[in-house]
Amino acid sequence: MSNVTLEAEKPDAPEQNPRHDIKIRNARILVVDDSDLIRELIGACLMTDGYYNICYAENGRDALEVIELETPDLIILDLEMPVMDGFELCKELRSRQETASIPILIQSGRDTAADITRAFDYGASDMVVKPIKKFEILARTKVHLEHRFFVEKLTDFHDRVASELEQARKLQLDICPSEEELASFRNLYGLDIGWHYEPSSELGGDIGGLYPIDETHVAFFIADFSGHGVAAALNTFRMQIWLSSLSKDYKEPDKILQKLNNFLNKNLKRGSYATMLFGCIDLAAGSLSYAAAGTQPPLIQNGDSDPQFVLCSSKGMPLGLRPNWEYELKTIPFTVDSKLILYSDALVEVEHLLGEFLGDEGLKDEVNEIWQQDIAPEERLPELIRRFHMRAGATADDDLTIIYIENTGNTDGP
Amino acid sequence: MKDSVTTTDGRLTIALSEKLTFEDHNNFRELLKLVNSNEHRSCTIDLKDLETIDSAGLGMLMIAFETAEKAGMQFQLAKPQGQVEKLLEISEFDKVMSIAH
Repeated sequence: MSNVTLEAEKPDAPEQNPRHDIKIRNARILVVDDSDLIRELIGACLMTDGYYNICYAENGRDALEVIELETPDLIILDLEMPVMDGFELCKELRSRQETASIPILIQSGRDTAADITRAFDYGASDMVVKPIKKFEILARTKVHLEHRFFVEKLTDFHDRVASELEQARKLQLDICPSEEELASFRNLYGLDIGWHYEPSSELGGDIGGLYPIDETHVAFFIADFSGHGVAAALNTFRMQIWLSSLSKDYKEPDKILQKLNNFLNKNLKRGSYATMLFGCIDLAAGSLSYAAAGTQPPLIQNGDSDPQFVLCSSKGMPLGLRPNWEYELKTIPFTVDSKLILYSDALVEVEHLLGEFLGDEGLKDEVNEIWQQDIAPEERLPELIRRFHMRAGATADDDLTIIYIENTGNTDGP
Repeated sequence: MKDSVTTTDGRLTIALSEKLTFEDHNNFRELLKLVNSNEHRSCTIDLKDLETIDSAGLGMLMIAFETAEKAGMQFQLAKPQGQVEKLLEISEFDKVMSIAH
């Protein structure tokens, strides 16, 4: 057992942040020592600095009981004690999740390299050697409490943001068409639609949608806002609102893009934009009209003529970059048995061969291979997705959207 | 992104290499100060060694063009390759600015 030296008061400390100070002063500190005298002296020491929430224990076992009642913010711990010593207690506390991160300040007369190493090995945060010097123990107490509260604050903040991002991801999933909606397109229009949306670990800017216009017209779109994160994700929700205000123009995709472009040009940050393809299927005419603004080229297979999927042009200035841009309207056949695949860049910007992206040409070959395989039609889109995951692994850092539309020509409706 | 800047006879050339992505936002803004400095007659962004570009990078190139346009400078993108070339093409940047292949 060693003695304690209470030094003369030091000159005034510099001003502290008062709010922060209150939190530190309210901290619960557990002093564990088998000597009544040392416990009292350390307690008195702490009280001179404004700490009042102090509890005591005589040995490790006793300390565990006190901790059980209320978890302390800091433990000042002697090493040599009967029943359960300081090493044992350290080890025990570090093995329990709820106490694993409590700072433990060792005060001990044992100061050999072996003792110090062992204490740190068992999970001590810091060590002061007896004789205890008041200002040393107060300074270290403060450092460890500050550290604990900062980490706590950061962890809380991190957890809150993570949970909010998770909710946002769910909301993005919610705006995708449901299975029932997709089934209704099959029944009413004879359109077989497959929809796959996978948000990335960060929030992303992919969005797509379907709009029934009248008995023979269905509009659809796929869009991707530049950048990642909250701003891109929030813009996907704004896109829905803008588009719903343009419903009278759904049969004129070029007009939709012109209006959206000017709107985004006024409202997005400079250099931000959205790529988009807006299309309208005319089932009576067996045609598809679309306008594009720099999206990935869609894959189209025309039921009548060619059994192969081909890449169609999707060139166009991304929306929002240049004001008053004119978009071209393209009209192509989309007769019975025609198929269309729209996709976001994640699908092709994935490593195929070493250091080489799959690219749109690579995707075209792959789609042709899958669609000519002898597998059930409903297995084709899942097969495409399965192959994507094989390449991307768990590292996908961009949203993935794939929309498949097939004109079956059969409606179940009256 | 890595960059190297050269000036000859009032012509500014910024050569970019590796990747131009969202993370390069601040560095790119520094480069734009050169475009905006009124010390040069023309600006060429050399993309020969730029391997990939993301959507934020594409936006930055448009900002560079607009900055030069405002300053009354000639502006050109030079020698885009691979994915960079493809993205510029699909986005019709050639309809707005000069791209030398």
